[in-house]
Amino acid sequence: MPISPNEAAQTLHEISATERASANAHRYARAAPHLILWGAVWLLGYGAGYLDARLTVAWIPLAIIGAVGSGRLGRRTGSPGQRGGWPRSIATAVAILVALSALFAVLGPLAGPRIGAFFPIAAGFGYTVIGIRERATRMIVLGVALTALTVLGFFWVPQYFALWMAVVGGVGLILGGVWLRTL
Amino acid sequence: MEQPDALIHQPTRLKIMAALKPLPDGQPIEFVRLKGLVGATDGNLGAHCTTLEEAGYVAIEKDFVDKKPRTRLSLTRKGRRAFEDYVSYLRGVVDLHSKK
Repeated sequence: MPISPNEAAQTLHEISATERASANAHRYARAAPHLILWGAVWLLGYGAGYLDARLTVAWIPLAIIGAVGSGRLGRRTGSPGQRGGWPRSIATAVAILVALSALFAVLGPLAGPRIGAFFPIAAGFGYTVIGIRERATRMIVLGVALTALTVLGFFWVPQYFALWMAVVGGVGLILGGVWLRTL
Repeated sequence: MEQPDALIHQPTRLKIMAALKPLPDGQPIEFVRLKGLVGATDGNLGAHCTTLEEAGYVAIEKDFVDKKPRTRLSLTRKGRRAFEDYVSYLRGVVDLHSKK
């Protein structure tokens, strides 16, 4: 049952398309619970900050809950070879903390909407880059939408920025996570 | 390999193997998700999965989650090797043609 070069090329193309779709579906399924978790964290964190500026301290426990939750989700949804990678997770967290500390040391203290916009824009940039590198269209859409909506809220409704981020950012991330699970 | 693996060469089974290939070693995919990727009916997909399982190319696990039945599939080492051989065969055919 020899096959023609054209048929072989066509079959290779179909294999490549199916592999990419499967890899993306797997990636989306892994990313979805993280987005839902961080959407809830943002909803509570920004929501608390909008209700009372003194409640912004709620970000500290919320960020810890988010980080620990993400670590646990990563262990549950990761491949067997990736499980048990706590040293790598801790090293990544330390690298992020060092980079952020260096960045804020150089930029000077940020407060209010500026610091509120910094992390969503950084997250949006991260999703976009992952999406471009992995040819994962939905990640690109999420990253661009998150960045655009954050910038829009920052300039359009600065006085309600925390509320904007709680609703648009937090709920948006939750809906984004649900959207990723639909594939 | 002078002939393509007839088990894998069938279009639906080829898609099943291609969908399982990118998953990390031993990581299963749910039947429902696989159905979406392959674009086959439950019965058709089930029959082809059984054929691949009998050949030792895929492993099928059945369990219950929240009292609902769940079927998951993963590629075995034998299946991964067979699929890689199949892809090498196709590349060989294309390369041979392009050299002429």
